[in-house]
Amino acid sequence: MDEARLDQCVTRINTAIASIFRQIDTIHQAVTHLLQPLSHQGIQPKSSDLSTLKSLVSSQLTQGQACIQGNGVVFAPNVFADREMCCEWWHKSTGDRLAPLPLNFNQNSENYYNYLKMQWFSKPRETAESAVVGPYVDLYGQDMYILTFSRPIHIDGEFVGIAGADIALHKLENILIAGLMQMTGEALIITREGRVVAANTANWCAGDMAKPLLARDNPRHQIIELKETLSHWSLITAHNHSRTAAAVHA
Amino acid sequence: MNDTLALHSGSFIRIRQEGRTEEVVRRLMEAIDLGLFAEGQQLPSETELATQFGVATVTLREALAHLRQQGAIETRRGRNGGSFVRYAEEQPAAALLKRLQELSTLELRDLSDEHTAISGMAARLAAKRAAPEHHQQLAHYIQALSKASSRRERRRADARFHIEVAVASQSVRLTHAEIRLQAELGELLWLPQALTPDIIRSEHEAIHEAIVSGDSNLAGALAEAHVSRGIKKLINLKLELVSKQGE
Repeated sequence: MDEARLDQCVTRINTAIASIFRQIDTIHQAVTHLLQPLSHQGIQPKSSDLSTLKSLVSSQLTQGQACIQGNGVVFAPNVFADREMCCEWWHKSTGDRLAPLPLNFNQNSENYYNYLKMQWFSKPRETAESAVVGPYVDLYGQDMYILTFSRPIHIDGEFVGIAGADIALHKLENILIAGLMQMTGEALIITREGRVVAANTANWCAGDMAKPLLARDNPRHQIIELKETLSHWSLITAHNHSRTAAAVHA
Repeated sequence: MNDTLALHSGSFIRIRQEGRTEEVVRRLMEAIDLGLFAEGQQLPSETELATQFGVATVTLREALAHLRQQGAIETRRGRNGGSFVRYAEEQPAAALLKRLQELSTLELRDLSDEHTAISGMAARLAAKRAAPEHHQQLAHYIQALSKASSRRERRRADARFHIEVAVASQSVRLTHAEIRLQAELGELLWLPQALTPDIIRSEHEAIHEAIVSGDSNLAGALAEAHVSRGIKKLINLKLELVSKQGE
């Protein structure tokens, strides 16, 4: 009975995450379609070759899932002949109006936006795998508590950038919690760093550090890696710890 | 998309979009909602209010027109005329539950973080700075809470206790912040499902005692625990709502 509930809960959460990555994949494919033929002809692309991308990225944002706060593509330096740094990223601004993310690529400026060092860019570049970064307080685009999902784009084996999406955690939360609430005991989703993403108990809240729960030798806890996040996240359940029991960690 | 090393002109410095009129409307609505202006009470004259808010009379008139439209005040003409606070219906529990449903536990946790910071610091300072008349005010609103017979009255006595702690701290900014937070939290804490009046009253008494005895650390710690416990109850309630929705 409990095993079945657990399976159901894991499936539900994996499905939610998979559908976000599916949306990112659509952009990923569009970029590949634009750049692959040029690469085969040995032509270095120009930023104008991306002209059709803008409408796809913005339509994904308006018609896709509500929890997606921003999405697009961020390219590695010098992919394009006419521009060193290039990104095609749109986000929902006030009143759900769409706006391009204004970034400062002037390296001499103190405020130079160096995305090359940011995890949602560097991780997929180094590992050639998708990344789930956050949750974190976003100082730049959103003024929100954000998760960034990103997937590397390779053209003929060479890394050219990432396709990704910023997810507003407060909008994704309901979907995750609906899954977690199927469990009778405490259940949490935790990042690899040990940060709580969602919980079915007020004893833990999104943003809390719950590192001790990741210890594999705790017999009271069960840890299940969520495959759709490429094991960036785990589901942790405590069998004999009731959801509504008084907080012991406060 | 963040980089903690290089800040640039992102949204964190975004200036509040609301203009002066909206700001005045918000502040007056909060005051009416929290019972700082009683029902039926006449508002101060336009010139007086304009001076208090530091805005032009035109701006204040615009704000009053807005409040009139929303039914929060009524304006009577004639010799005894002026703007009066209208009696407002208590929000039905269903509407409050719907509001809670729309909030995420993340937003509630963030509200708790801010509220803990403000109320905790206000209590800390109140223990150092309060005078006997402040102690009396606090005792008064503890009593008002035990006597209150409706959700609105309980909620107002509760909110007023916290606002009076901030007033006792002698900080205008903390008082403004406490009013805003109390208005934001609204009547949620007094939903029948979240209701623990005896605990809330005894916690208020303990905070009051710590402030009277000048124990600033204790007052701060008690206020922090009080606020976070209250919002934790709301998070639990919210989780129950999600689980019922999923069935």
